Amino acid sequence: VHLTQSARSTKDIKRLVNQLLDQGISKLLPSATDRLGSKLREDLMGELYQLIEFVLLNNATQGRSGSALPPKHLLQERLASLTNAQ
Amino acid sequence: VGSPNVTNLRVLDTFLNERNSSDLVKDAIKLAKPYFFLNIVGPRIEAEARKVFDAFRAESTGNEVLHYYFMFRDYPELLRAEPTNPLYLLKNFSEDREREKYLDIAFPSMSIKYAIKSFTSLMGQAPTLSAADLEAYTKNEYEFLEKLKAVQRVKEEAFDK
Repeated sequence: VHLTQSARSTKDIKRLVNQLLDQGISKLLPSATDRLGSKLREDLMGELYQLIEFVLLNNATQGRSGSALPPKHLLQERLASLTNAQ
Repeated sequence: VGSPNVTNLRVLDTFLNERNSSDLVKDAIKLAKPYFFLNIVGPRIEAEARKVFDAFRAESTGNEVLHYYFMFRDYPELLRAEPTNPLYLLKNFSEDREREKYLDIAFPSMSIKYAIKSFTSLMGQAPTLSAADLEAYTKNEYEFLEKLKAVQRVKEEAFDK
């Protein structure tokens, strides 16, 4: 059963993306139980999500993947979150 | 405005709604992987390793000063010792100074005293000095000069005669 966009939490999104990771990344970054290991994993996964996002957006704008671009308000929100330091 | 991480995941979420979402994301991961490993994971792991290494180095530095800690913990009066107190010497103990002192005893031909002695004898003008004179030189330059003058005076007197 596919989750709808509104029902999907950030945890669900992470879980769905993590299911698609290949063995190389999964083995290198196993889910750690200690605080330091989990912090490292979380940071690196955050970086990976950003790279995936970049590639997906780049492919979408160039019409390579055939997928639609995200809605304009979401892109504007994303831009604002990147330019405004929290 | 949401946090960068949340908005980032929201953008990913829109692509997960696509029909071929798993292929899209898998392809993106395949493209992002080389950059991810080379430019993000590598430097980060190196930084973490450096942190661990620095932590060990801090431990070794701690061991170097640990005996001073125990000394002052067991003999706190050392901290209040004045120059007239013999304990002051212990407080101002210098390993380098002690090493030089014992090296002079073990290898007298390499000491500063010997160098001065050989230099003055090489010049041929200064009178030969005893070990006590050299000791006095190192202790008090003024006393040495006085003695030097005295020796010179004796020599001049002998020459006049």
